[in-house]
Amino acid sequence: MSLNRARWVLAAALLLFTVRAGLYIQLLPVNEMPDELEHVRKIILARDWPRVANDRAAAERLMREVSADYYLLANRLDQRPPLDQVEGRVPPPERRTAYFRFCGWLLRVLGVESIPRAWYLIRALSWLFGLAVLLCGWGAARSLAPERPILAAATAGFLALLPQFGAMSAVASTDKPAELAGAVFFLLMVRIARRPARLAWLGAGLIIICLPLVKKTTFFLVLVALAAALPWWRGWLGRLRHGRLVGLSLSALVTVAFLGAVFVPWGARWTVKLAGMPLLRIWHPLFDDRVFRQPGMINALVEHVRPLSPAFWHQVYFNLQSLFQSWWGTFGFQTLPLPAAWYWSAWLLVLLALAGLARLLFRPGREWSMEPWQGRALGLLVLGAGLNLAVILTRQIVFAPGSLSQGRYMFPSLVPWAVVGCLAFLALWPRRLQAPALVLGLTWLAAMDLAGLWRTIVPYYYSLVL
Amino acid sequence: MVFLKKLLPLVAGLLVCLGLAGAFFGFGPGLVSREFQDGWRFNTGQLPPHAWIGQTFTSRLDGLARIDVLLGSFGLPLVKPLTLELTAVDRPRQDHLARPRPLVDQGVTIPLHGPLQIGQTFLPRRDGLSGVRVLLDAGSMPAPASVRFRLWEAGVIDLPGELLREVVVPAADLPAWGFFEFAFRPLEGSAGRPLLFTLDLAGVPRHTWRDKTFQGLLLRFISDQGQPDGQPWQGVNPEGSAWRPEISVGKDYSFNEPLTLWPANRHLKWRYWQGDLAFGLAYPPALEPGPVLRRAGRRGLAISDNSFNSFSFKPLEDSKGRSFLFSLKTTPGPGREPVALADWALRYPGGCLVVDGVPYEGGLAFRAYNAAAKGTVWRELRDKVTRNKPAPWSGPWFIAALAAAHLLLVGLLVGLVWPRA
Repeated sequence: MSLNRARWVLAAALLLFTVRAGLYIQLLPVNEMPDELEHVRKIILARDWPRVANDRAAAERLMREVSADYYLLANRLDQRPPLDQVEGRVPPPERRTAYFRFCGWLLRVLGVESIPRAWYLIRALSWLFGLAVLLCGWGAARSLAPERPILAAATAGFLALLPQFGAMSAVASTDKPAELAGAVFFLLMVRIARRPARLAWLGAGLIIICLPLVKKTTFFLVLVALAAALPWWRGWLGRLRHGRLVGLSLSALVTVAFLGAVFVPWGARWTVKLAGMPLLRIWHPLFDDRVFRQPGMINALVEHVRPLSPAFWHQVYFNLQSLFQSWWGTFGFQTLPLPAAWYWSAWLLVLLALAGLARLLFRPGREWSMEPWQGRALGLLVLGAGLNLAVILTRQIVFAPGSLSQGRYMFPSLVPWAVVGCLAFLALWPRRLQAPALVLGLTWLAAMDLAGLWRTIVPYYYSLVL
Repeated sequence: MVFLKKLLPLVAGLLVCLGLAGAFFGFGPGLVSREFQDGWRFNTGQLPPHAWIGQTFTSRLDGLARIDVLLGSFGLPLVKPLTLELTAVDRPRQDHLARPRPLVDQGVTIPLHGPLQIGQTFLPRRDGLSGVRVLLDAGSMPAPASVRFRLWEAGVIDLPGELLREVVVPAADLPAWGFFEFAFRPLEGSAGRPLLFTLDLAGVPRHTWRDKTFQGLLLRFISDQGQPDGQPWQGVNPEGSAWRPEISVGKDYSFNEPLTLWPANRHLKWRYWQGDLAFGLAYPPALEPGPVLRRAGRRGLAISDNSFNSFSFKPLEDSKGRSFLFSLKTTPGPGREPVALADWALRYPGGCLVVDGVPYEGGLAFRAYNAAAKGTVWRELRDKVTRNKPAPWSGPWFIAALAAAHLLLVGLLVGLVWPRA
């Protein structure tokens, strides 16, 4: 495939994604993807915060207006209910993260007063986030394999048709900034692996610094950044006169920081603030309520990981299954899966991609041999995808036992999954069969998407089958 | 020839677009659903081969063509195939509906061992009580042991009344984990009569008590006080409560309450717990399915977990105003039995849940679809999806334009990727 044609594919993919997001915005009822109503509450509160910050009654009235408009938008009632009959709980102000503040600011700047209009405008903003992720996917694939435009075309097509990504790009969700942060970060990682430039490092550094403002599901990016910096770090140490001493000192510093986060009350409290729980639960009043009333990561790991227990593996299986299904497409609050046949065929596609990855790694031949920097970039993408998977499974199984993993938690690493998945899928076929295989793959994905829209969402929410 | 080759990708894209349009919008009739129920979902238990579960309903339209039922396989990739049979009934809902019991994983497992008895009081809603289904685990019971089930008048406060029925079942016949029905001769006049059932063990070899792996017969207890990390189960069984004799020796870890051991020479005191054993009642069938009007099957691999599964059949032309019963049965095949999910509140006014011919309070989560003209379905969808929405999503043709553009762009994308000569 020529670069020119791949660019046409990108244009078609962007248009297709836009149309699909429009359809999902139209067909998904409000608050039928996780926590949408709660997110809109916080955004509307952020929009009017200068007005209601010191007026509790006004804030409560505002939240009642959101509830009333929600009932009207959701078609639960024929007319807007009276404000005194709906909920007016005001979310705690400290929970307004950067996403809520940004959306609130945008609504203020645009002068959007109507709550239904604001709600759908936020949904449309999610579509813009999705478009940006798609462009990052294209950019990462182009940077990774500039000699193979078909990879960039496949990545763009895949991202344009993935049902869950389309649905998440049509609702107000805190996952959107996390997706975008991850997408830009991995684009920069590939660029850094190709040619370490200060600007790329600066961008990656900025993303890492801003992660606490985005979402905890993105924290694994810090480890990817450290892995990316490793070759540079080694080179820098080698050039220093006392490089070995500096290396040892920094290792000692990391150890001290770890010990400080565990055993120094101030460090433990900051760990709770950043990571949600302390590394180790310590029963001492000096560590205050925030530390010693929580389980502690190491304690929880010891308590919940039981490799000899069938119940533990049963829980792992359930989590992997729910993660897999909702990565491809499960709507509602994990309540509306696609028909089982789609997941079976998705497994087939995954098996093909795994076979392709095995070929890429062990028998690449002349056709798939890579430059060292390409191997490094691919390694960073695989590391990112694997770390995200490990973090999500650990979080759900160890720290929230009994809960199920959701595919959207994996979307910060959507670009690595898409790029590596498409590359592995293409690597399975000889050159002349790559385009037909891609045609089949994209047609299957388009059919899965149509099944989600018209055979799953429409019958469930509207009791109709077209 | 070269021109034709250049046209090939365009034609391929168009074919894909038309194929998808035909598959998703062209073939088969349009369907609308007026009869549906989907509320709080509870597990009705796995469907053994001889049992069936169903739902009665009244169709408001002609052309009944499909029934969707919410099924669960609890993560298992393969379950047994299911068959749905549709029959006509005279009355979709009867008086004196039995109360369903949820098969829940909440609660705690309690061991029945030694000479201890455990029981449950209850108030049957129907006459002819013919059995009690108890959730139990006899996996660690030794072969010569047996379980004695006794049905009593509930008596006053702390003593059982008259013994009504007694059933002894060898432990080898009990399941490792599941509901077991202690069946007995139907008890006439059981409706509204306070009853008590008790369970105890017999024939457990003495050396077994020293075996640390022996746990006794395990039962499930659901506290209406709530679990430490869960919601209280208020109203699981408001007409009775779990019951056991109380003798205090040591501590029982399950309840943080006194451990109960049976001393041969001490007077017994009976004690009621705030909660229930996981159990259900069995009655003789009151609603026998008539001749089968339609039958549809679903293969085990095609059953989606925690999802509405469709059973389509040839439209029933004269269905308007008629009452029906659909029943689900498992058919032989690999894997375990799937589970139908139900709502235990009586939300749907046009019918009720039916288990093995016994009408129950509650209903399966289901949707009954009737055939309708495509144009009618599109118009109804358009009205529903544009209602109360801001522009441009309130525009009447916006969704049709998006749907058409979607298909065309898929075709364009495929055409662009199509291999060139």
